[in-house]
Amino acid sequence: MSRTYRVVHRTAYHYSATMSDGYTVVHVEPRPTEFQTVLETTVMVDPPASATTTYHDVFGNVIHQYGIHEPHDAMAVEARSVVTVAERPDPVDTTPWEDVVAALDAATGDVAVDVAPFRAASHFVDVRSLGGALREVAAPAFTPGRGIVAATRDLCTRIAAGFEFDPGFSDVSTPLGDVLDARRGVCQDFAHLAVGALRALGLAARYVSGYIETIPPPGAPRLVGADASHAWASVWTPGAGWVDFDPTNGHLPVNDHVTVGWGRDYADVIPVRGVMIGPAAEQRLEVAVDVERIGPQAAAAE
Amino acid sequence: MGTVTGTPLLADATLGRRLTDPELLVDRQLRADRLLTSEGAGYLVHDLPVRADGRLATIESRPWRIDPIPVVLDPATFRWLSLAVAERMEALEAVLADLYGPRTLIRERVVPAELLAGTPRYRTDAVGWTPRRWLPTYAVDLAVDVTGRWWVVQDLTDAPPGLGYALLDRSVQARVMPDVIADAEVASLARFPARLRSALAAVADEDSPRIVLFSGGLDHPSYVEHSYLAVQLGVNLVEGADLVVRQRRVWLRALDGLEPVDVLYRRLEDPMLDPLTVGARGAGGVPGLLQAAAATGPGPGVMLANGYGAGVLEAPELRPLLADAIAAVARPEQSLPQLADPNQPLARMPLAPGSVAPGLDSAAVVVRLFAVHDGRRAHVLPGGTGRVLLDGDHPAHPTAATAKDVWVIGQTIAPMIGPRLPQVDFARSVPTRAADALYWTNRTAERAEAMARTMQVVTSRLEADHGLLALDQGAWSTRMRQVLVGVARGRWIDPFPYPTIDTITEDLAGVGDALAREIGALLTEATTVREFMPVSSGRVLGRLAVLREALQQRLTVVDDLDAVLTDFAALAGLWQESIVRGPAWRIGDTGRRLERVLVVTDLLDAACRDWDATGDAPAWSPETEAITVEVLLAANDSLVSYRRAHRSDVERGLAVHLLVRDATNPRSIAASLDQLARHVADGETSLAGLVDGARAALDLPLDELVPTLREFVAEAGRRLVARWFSTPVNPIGMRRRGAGGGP
Repeated sequence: MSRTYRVVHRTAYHYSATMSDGYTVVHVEPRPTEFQTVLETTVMVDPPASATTTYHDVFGNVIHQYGIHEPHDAMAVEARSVVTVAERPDPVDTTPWEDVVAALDAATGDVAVDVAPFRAASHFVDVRSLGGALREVAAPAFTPGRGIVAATRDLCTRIAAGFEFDPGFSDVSTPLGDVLDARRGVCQDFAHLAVGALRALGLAARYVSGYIETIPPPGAPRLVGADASHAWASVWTPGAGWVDFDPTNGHLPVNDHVTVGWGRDYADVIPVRGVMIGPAAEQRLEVAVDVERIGPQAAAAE
Repeated sequence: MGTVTGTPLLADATLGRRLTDPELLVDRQLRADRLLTSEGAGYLVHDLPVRADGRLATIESRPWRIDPIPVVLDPATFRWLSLAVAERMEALEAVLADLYGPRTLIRERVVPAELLAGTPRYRTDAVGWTPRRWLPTYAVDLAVDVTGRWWVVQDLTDAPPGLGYALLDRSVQARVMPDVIADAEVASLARFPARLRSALAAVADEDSPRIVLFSGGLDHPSYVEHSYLAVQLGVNLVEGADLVVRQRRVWLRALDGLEPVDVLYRRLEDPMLDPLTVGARGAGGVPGLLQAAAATGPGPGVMLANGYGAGVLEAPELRPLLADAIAAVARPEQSLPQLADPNQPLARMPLAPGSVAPGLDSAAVVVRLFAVHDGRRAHVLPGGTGRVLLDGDHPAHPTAATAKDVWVIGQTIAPMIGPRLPQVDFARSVPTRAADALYWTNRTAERAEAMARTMQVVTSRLEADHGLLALDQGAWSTRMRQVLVGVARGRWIDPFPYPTIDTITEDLAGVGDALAREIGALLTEATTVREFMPVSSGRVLGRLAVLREALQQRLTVVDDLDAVLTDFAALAGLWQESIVRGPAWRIGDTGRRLERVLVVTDLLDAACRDWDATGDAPAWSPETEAITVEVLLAANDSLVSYRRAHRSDVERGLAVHLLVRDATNPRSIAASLDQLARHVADGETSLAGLVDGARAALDLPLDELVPTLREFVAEAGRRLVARWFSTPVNPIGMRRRGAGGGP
């Protein structure tokens, strides 16, 4: 059953000094996908941008670039979107994963252009030096001859069970090697881990940025703005195309994930990044994410 | 000496003997070393840590030497090589157009996508871009084996370095042995800057585009080359902070406001261009630059030369695949094979004794050739740079800091009808950062000149009469200490105990240290604005760099100071005589006049403070006063003026008048203020009112005049900085928040 969500993602900066210019690149607008219809989306910048550019990156994600060319000591980016997420069917592809690797090795045409790049090492997924450790993570799930979907599903479960969610452990720049050593992290780390494990085997895997609906404990009110942006992974299969899976939650998305975009890793889809021109200053950053189910099926879902 | 004949790197045996004549080599090496310094390259390679306003600059350029034995290519070899290089350049252009366009090479797996995706040098954000040309400039390193077969070591496609060094090295060689160059009919490089300029212009839509050379600034290891090339091209050298992107165009912050830029001849590598790009490096980029560059086609935008992403061809992973990629997109007639084995035996050639290391008399040399493409065809520089390989060096990474010129001989080139002149009107167009540097160049030059002159005057007086030390129980020598410290802007000295020759010598050395620092700051500032300086000033600055070293080692003597005063006079004269009277000149001259007001003020204060005081002050005999005033006049280069005006012995009142109020004395404060008033009238409105106030103060008694003038100079400096130089600092990264979701 499809669900409709309203997502509000607000990123606010406060500086201890006045900046003369600010330049911001944002990946916060959900993109349409096979399972997702974007009904409305607006991105507001405060103070209002002096210049705005919107374009698509090489992966097809929507990027807004803003210039604020007047003195400011605070700035905020707020994205509001209404998105309908269809219920994804259970993916089916029993191709042995080794055959997928072999197919990718020989891939030409569109697969070479669109899929093969996701096999390479990237900034946050250092497959070259972590290859051995990453293969160890993958090995129990990717037993010889196992079907690509089944193996991925198993990997997803194993990461969720074997790694501890610990919001205090990592930040945006925690290397994957530390996550592997400590066996803890947050969704971004687990997504990188899953992507790395698959790439270490020679498979194609991408990092997906988005949101997930969080259900408050029974009896507790839903806390507005307390959600976080979410990240998961996706593996390429010859039969079922890209198959998303959420190693933080240990399952494949059905209809509770809202996709913003994807890339090789976090670096390609950082929600808000940029530079400013001005004196050295302290920066205070506040992020609030709210995912609210508003769809006609809201009541029927539970 | 190694084999002269039989090496493909030294094609002509007769010429080879002439070039390797041991009788001549030592002298040639000495002259090459000296010329490299005086051409302006040498002084930059020394450490110049502090800029005039105290900002830190770190220059990492390595000193390099020119081995006076060039690589000599015969006409047939060069003809073949230049054809092959031109073809390769065209082929690589096609490879780039495909890798960022239809990507057929990837679809057909000639170049595996995984390999490209794995190197940050493949700029995914450039996929889909269609610049008019990816490679308006190109360089290639070639090695030759003992059989005479040439190999490609590496292609340089990002911001191909070395062309400036090739031109600079030739300008040195042309002066070391002009006769040999003429006899051997060595092909001239003089046309090439114009060719480069045409190639840069050809990437833009406009008929006469505004081109700037985009440098990383003094911190970039190749800054010497950037600065030299900017002068050769006749374009402004700019840094990231000089540029700003608005409405998807790139603008230069200039004294007259923002000026549009059409072509960036970028000397920065791909990932350093724009801090907003994924995986950006360095702090020298321009936010939004790539969005402006992405706007190709008619309308707004900026063209990058080379195109953004062209550096992918330098990725070592790609090197083994280039031959196949080239074969897939082009059908070159002359193919240069890729050097696959870095240990392959290469042809060696002689080295001048000691040019690299003692006892090393021959080495393999990698030859870098340069090409530009003007939209119609490629032009290969009939020359290049040879980079000496030490045994064990990978040919792509020579470790010896020794370069060889590359000669193409037997070229009967049609005579040039005069060199083409730069087409940019520098007088009208001054980046604010350049204005800042011109201002400080002149201020530091004026201050340094005053220090040198004061040292010279005091030293020669003492040398002439050591008895002066004891005059009036040391009163005169105490005063001289004040003068020395005053001109070096040091702290006022307690007059007791009376100085000895040792303390004076120590003070002189202290001023020498300060002078060395001032010259260092002068060199640093001047280096960033070479395109605004008269061409000959490079040599003067080179000599000042040598003097600076002598000062640092405390080896200076009066004769050196005489010579350096001549150099300062030459610098000032070149500035006055060779610079168009425009904003650049005005801002520089404003700096010079303000500093001169300050110098005279400092010297007057040092020589005359507490003159009439009683009590603890030393006794003054008329003789002490006369000699002190004489020194004061001489330190201000006004003694001759005084003698012309007054037949009497020097008198304090007349001397002060000559230095303060006599506007006919060009060294006087009044003359400087008059000149500043003219600048105000010509548009330097930030100083309006201020100058008149200073002029009105000239009749004040000295103890009131001194602080008034010091505050005047300080306030003028503040206003100029606020008006012109409030250059933005480098971009600061915004903090990021990762995806933090949990189960």
